[in-house]
Amino acid sequence: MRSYFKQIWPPLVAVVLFLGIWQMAVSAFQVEAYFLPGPDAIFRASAENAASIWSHTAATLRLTLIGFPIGTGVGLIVALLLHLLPWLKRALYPLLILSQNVPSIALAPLLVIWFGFGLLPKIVLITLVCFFPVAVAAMGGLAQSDRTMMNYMKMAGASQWQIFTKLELPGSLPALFSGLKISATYAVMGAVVAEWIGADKGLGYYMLLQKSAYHTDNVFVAIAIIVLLSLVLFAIIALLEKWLVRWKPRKTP
Amino acid sequence: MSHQIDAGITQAGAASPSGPASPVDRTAVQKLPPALEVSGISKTFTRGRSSTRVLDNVSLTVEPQEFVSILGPSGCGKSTLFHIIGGLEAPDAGTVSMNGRSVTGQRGEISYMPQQPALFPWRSTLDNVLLAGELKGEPQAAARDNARRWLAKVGLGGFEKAYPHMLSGGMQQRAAFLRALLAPQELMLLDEPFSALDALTRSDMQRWLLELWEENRRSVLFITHNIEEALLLSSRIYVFSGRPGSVLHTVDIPFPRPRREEITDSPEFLQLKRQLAQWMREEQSKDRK
Repeated sequence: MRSYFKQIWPPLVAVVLFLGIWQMAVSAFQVEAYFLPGPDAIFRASAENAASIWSHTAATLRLTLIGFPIGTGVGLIVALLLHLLPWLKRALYPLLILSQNVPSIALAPLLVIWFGFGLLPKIVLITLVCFFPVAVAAMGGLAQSDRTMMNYMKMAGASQWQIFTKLELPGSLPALFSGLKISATYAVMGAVVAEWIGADKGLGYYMLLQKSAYHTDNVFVAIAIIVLLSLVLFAIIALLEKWLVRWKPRKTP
Repeated sequence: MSHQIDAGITQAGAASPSGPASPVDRTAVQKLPPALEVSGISKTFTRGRSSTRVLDNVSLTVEPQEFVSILGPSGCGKSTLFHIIGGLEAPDAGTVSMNGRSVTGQRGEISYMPQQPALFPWRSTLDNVLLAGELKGEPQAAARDNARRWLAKVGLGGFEKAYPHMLSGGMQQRAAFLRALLAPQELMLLDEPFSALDALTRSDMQRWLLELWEENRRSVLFITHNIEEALLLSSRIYVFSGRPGSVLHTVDIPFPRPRREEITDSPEFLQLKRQLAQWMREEQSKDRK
């Protein structure tokens, strides 16, 4: 518990300091609220609009929680397929890397044309941003099995399937989880972008609405909630990792 | 290439319990076929235009329940030989047979203990020890009880559920050895199992292995570059040349079993040790030229 506090207080102090300077700067230079509201104004705004913000947050959360598992699942399936079929990996892996140069936001209008304004184009967008980190991390993990252990398995007469389930898959978990953590944060971002392109609820939609009304404080509230959602999702993945990869020696200095 | 020496001291065959290695005698006495017979193995690795000959016409035999060592300078192709016996690599020439059956290039015929313990970090000590049987699809319930008893016997009692990183180097090595010992395959290949350990732990493990083996006679092929270790444990030693590896000398070790560590002080032991050391030195200096 003590070491936990030791870890947490430096960033905490930094955040508090940052908010304090922000607040003082806003009051000292008399910055207009529509341009940059102070932390106090943002806090007040969040309290005033709590009910509507909550409904929008719930919508974004729902979208994230549908999109993230689907995106992760697609990423895992791609990784497993390409790992088990090396010729397919040789053919598709470069294209996969290349595909990430297409900005997801540029695809958004196309997705609307193809899939309309419903849930589907949004899920597709989240999947597109989520699957890549998972797929690349899982493929890397699967391919980097310890050579001595691999030799042992082969000499002991292990089948391809046994090598996969007993060596490659468990060995890839640490790498997979670093991909999952990146994907988790991407998922929230993907949901917000998806709401920009066409939605009647959600934090993305709320931000657009408040921006056009120059309610900059509300935009900041939305940003803060997005950050919080990402953090919570990240923390859940990290906890899951801690439990599933408990066999790994902890890196204590 | 290889020639028999009479173990230095004893002339009479009486002190040679492991039996002579000449094929004529074997057929005459109607013995079991050898647990492992490697004959005429050669291997060359080619990378681009350069090629390295790693093994040159290697032949050796491990009789059932015999402890045989390969002693050689580093880089004499010992590990490649193991890979060929284990079916990981195909030899350019020669055959591997076990119990009279050709198994060249077949996997899953041997029980293997690598140089590094290579325990699976996500498996508990107990599950690691059970791995070989699990791969062969053996029933697990009885094997678990047996493995628990063995873990206690080798000083790993209470560590059944511990992950490998919680064990010391010597304990990991013992677990890796147990994994090989409990494997369903009869022939064990031990690839310099103690080379990563400190001197004290090492001599400890040698004594431990000697005792354990004499109780549970398995057919063992043991790679080492430690002369004393080879002499203490083996019934026969094949001395390998430097690259390309080939059998230079075959030495039958006359000491009766059960052996105790005290034999390392006997004049016979010291004489054999000197002889082997000289051969090794010659090989190393040849390598340098």
